[in-house]
Amino acid sequence: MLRRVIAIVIMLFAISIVTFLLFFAIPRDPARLTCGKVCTPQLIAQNRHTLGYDRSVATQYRAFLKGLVVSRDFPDDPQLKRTHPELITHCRAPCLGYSPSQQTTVNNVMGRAAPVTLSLILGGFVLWIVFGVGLGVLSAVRRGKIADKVVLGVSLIGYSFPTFFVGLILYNIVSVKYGLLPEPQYVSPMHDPLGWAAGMLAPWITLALAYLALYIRLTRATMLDTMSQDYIRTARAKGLPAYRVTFKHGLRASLTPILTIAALDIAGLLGAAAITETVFNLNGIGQTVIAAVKDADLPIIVVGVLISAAAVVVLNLVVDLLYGVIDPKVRYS
Amino acid sequence: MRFVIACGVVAVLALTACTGKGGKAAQTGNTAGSQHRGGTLYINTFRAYTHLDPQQNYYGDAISFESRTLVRTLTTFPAIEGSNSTDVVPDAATDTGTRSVDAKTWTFTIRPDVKWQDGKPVTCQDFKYGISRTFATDIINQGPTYALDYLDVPHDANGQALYNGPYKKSGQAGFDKSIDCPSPNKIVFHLRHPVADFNQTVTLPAFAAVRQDKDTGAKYDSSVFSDGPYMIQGKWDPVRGGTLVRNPNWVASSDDVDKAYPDQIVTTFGETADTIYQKLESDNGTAKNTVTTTTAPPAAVPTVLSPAMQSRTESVTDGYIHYLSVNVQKVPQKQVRQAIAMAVDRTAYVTAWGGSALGSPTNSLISPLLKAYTRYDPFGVGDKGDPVKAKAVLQAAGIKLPYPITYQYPKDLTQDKLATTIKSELQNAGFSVTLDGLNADNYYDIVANPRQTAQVVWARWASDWPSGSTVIPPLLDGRVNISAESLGNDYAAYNDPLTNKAIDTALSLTDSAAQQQAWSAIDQQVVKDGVIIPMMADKALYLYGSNVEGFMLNAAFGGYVDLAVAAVQ
Repeated sequence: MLRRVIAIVIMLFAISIVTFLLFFAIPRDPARLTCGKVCTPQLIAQNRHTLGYDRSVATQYRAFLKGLVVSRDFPDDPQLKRTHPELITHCRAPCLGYSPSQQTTVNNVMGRAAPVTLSLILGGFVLWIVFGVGLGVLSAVRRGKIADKVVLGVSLIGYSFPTFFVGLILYNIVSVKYGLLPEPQYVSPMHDPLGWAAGMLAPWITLALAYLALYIRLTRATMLDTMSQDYIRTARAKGLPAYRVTFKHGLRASLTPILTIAALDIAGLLGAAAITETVFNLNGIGQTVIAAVKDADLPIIVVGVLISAAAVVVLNLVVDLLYGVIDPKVRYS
Repeated sequence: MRFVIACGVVAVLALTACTGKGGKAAQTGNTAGSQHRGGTLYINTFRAYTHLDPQQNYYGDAISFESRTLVRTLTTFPAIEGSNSTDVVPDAATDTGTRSVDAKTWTFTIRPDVKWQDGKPVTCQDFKYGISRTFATDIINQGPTYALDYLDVPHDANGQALYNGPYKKSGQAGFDKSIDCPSPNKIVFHLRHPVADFNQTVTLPAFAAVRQDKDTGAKYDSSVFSDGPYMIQGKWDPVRGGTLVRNPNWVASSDDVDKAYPDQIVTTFGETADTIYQKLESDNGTAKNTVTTTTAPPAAVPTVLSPAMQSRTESVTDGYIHYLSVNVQKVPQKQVRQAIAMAVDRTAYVTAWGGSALGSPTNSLISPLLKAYTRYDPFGVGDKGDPVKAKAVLQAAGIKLPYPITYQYPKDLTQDKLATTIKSELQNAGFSVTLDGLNADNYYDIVANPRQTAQVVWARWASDWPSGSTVIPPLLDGRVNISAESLGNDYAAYNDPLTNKAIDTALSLTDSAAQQQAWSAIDQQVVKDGVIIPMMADKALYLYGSNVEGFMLNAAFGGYVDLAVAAVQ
């Protein structure tokens, strides 16, 4: 376990370095982008200096690392701090940087964006697992019958449309035009839990539909395989009620492959979440990072990438631990 | 019998007078006054108004927004339609300024009833401080930089101002001499060279007042201190916007332009254009009180132009000119450039762009809205062009055909269509065309790069205020644009000594009318040379909610909705 955690930390460092290197390898000049309509070479050079891009990549990376333990000032100008402290933004450690496009610390930016993305991902995940597995079980149990055919057919339609298309349809047509879904928006669940759920409904459905078909089919296939095993026949012969056979014995054995795929899909989930956030204008981490790429806002990009990487890794760890719960053969010693 | 008919006629006339379309009623401008006071106006637009800091604000929609709400300038543009809409009128000043004979000294008197949101009067010192912030280029670096060039501040040998702003104060004495405050409400500008249209320059928020004790530098965007009819409630978020409420210390009689009808203005940023227009079309809930500064996306245009939406639709020539820039180093022969200019079909361009509601063919780099605009036909081929004649020109000059041309443009669906029509027109004239559609995000980086730019590139431009002096020099003066790494805005790499001299002469003219004519002459010269091929004058098309009254688009302010006269029922 400890080995695993150390490996994760090392990997995050590596990812941050690669992000820095990639940012400066692209053929765009981030200083020119922040320059406005009439961009003289002097102004671009000035911008580059203000943003810190005229220093070496190594220096900038060191400053970023230092900020994780020591507080930073933006702009980092001691003379200005003495004469005009109201101009300085103070970033307490762990300082993730300062975003020129949003004019505040990356901590603030991500602090506001993270709950949105978390809400979106968790809700979407729950929806697709519950409905994916549930409908998959239904399909398996009613194999060959109408229910099975309908579920398989409809899920395939949802799966074949790209996320942004589904999102636009749900937002513009279903919600705005026909009023059949509540207005998509993010409100904090602390202030208004019902409003939160209502506002997230369309985004959750959008996200879930991207994965639903796969999980329905996967559950169905695994269930069919499991249910044909001898011990299931034994359980039935022993007189156990049908739901017990299906769920306690059949589904539980099927969960391992489902969770394996889920662990892999979580990485893709963040990408689909970014698209969903942009379509529904939710100002989550995904939308923020996409905008930061457009604006060449390095501090947000770096932290966004790190958060995504950390999320994938942590969620995979959680799934691995869950294996231990469902399958006693796999346990961390 | 005649009595009955007479009554019928009177009734019909009365009826038509009362049911005039909401949008059109505003054509009589802010004197119409049929708008209601109160309520909340919503602005739902895609691109955020990130910089409300007046010295950082360089986007037309954000400038249009804050000029009518938070920031008063010495002069402004009136809320009217028609050809007088680009004539400046006083805003914070008592008149449109007096100038010395050589147009290097400009004096304005500030109205005594212009007040900050805490009740203190706006003074000359406040204007002086605000303008000085432009010089702090390490912190304030997004906005227009005219102050750096225009004010009579000492400059170094490279033309850089020797003043670094009010925070570091190096060279403060030199700056202080360039703006005099003989009394708190009198401001005198000393300019480095004659500026005949300076009273138009000061309409920019970059020349607005800022209270020194409220300044927070790079963070000022979120807490602009207002001297306009509204003020920010709480903080303004550069990404999400915020709410404006009435400024209790704004004196209505101090403002001849702004009526400030709504009690509140609430912004939403970030929704896609398709979603915004779907909400406006469905017209439910707050969408009824909504306007947008995002022009109708192609998918929504047919619905917006349909009869059902007619009473809630407006379009205007917005000042943007689309043109093709032909690089004089990569296409050195004049006849080849002229042949390109002759071959292209402007009417087909407008059709491919989306039709006459979205643009009109044009012959000049200078927008038809400007006084400097002249209609002319340099090659005698009209708007439709003539590939046959173009080919004849090439053959007469002994050019080997087919002549290879690469055309760069920012790639999207509409631009792809435009590129295809341009390609076929040029190929009919004897060119062989390679299309190079570039990513829109870094398009201008590439076309401004001397090594990566193509022979012909697509570009567009709008003036910063309605004068040729913000069109010709920024685009065609090679001396300020061209360096080893960049062509600036001069994608044609045009650096003609005679033209540069003509630009210098035009800038020194003190008679506005003569100056605008001089700009037109330079424009005609470069168009005849085939360096610039003007294609289309852009029109913006907007839909607005059914409760919105007094909706009009202000061409002088970029063609956006004019909040000076907008109201909700």
